[in-house]
Amino acid sequence: MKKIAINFGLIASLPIIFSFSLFIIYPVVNSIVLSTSKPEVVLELFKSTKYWEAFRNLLIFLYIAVPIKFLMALLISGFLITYRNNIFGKIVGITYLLPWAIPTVASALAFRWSLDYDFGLFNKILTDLGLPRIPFLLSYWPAMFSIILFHIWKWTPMWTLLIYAGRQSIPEELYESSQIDGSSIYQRFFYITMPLIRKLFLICLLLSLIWSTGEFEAIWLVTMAGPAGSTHTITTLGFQQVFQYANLMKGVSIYISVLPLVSVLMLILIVMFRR
Amino acid sequence: MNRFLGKFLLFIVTCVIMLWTFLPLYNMIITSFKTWEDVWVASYSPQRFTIEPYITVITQSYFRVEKFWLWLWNSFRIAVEVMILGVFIGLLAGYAISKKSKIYGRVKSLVANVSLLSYIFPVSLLSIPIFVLMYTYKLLNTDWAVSLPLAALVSPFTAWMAAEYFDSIPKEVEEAAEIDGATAFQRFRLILLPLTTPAIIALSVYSFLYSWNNYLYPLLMLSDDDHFVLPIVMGFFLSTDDSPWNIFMATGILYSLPPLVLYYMFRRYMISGLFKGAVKV
Repeated sequence: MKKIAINFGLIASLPIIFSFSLFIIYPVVNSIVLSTSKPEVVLELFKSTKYWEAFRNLLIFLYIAVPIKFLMALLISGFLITYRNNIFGKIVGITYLLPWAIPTVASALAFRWSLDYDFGLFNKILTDLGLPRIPFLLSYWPAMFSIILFHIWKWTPMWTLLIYAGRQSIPEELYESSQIDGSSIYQRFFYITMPLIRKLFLICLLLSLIWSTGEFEAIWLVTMAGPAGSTHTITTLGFQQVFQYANLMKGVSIYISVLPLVSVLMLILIVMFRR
Repeated sequence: MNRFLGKFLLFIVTCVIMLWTFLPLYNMIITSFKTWEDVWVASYSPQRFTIEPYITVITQSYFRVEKFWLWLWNSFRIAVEVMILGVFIGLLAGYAISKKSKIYGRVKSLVANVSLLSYIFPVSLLSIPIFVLMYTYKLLNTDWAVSLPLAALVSPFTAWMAAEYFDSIPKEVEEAAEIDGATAFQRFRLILLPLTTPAIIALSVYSFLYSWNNYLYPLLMLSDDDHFVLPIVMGFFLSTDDSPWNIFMATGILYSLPPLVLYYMFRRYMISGLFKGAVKV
């Protein structure tokens, strides 16, 4: 009786162990083996300016996109909490998830066309406001800006949803009693909300850092790493090496080179999750 | 005074953010109702309203959407395969993680950690080695090359979601059957599974959309135009010179409709059980 029970639990865990070994462990191990089998390729990689440019772009992307995403998630979730019994709160509550629900490629189409220099809606609005046109996709900084803009647009809703869920579970009485004592909206945010959602916030922040490191679509679809390959990050550079220059070894090494950084973040995250 | 100012500022900032959220989508919608000549004049509404772009897409009468229905069918079929596999792996693994299964604590935490690790891993970093794997086993340009890795990548999320549901079922339900001599598998199949129907629906929707919205893996694995899925084709739109953007936008909107409907029906399930512990204050 007892024995069968033990067995079924074990059998049930087999499929995920199998898929994990085949599609997570094997690729990682294989990449490490492949890139260490020819160390000169890796050394050559670390000497190339193209690689360090991509690495710099990745850092710029992370340092700008992640904080803005979370600032906006805090603002929108704050709005949803403050105005929850109000028609505005309900409208925003229904619509803020739109960018997340739409397939990335479809929204990338929308962005690409809106960012167009001559015919895009963004430049149309700028000129109507009497401002100069911005060559969004035609030079380095505007192109980086467009990538970040798209990434933020796409992923803010998801983090808003999570942080909103966290803030909803804070007992109402805490706010009421502090309001009677005459606290301001800022004080309530910094002394009640933030300390209480600290753990959730840190988990989301770390997870967002990890996933943004692997961001591929925002770069490939919005600028295609252009103009002139200046907005490559690690993921697109590796992709290009393999599929346009048929240089498998180099591509794999590029991907593996960020693994140490990502693994440190993942370790911290796992410890935080499991507590 | 200060109190109202804060609330008012929050209101203004949120309005600006929401406006910016809608702007590209609004542009997408109006462009899809424009005629070809009007596309080349930026405007806030279609000058001459037409549904011709949609008809062009549906009747496949432009060469970049010449196999629209076939590509849509490919997207759908692969999504269904990912759904079946993802739900299958997820339900079993979820059972193993949950308090319902009686396995050694070490094995249980191994399965839990394995799911957690594969959930947080940045999936694009795995793409090239998986491509090599599929190449080695000559699976490129088949459904399996896309659906197997995607099912493996979606299953940690479905596993945590399922585990949360299994945990929420009171253990008395199972105990009665256990006394009557039902084996663990019988209890799983006859008692637990029927009770988790809402969870199974949510898991299916999540896995289906995960595959439907994915771009990178189909792009790597499929290179023959009879096997394309619609996201790849839409990706190609972006690198063309003669751009009938009204037709492209109509394609994008048609492809976005199913996920939009599903997300809105099931949006409260889209937070995994993973976050449940962290969300609680």
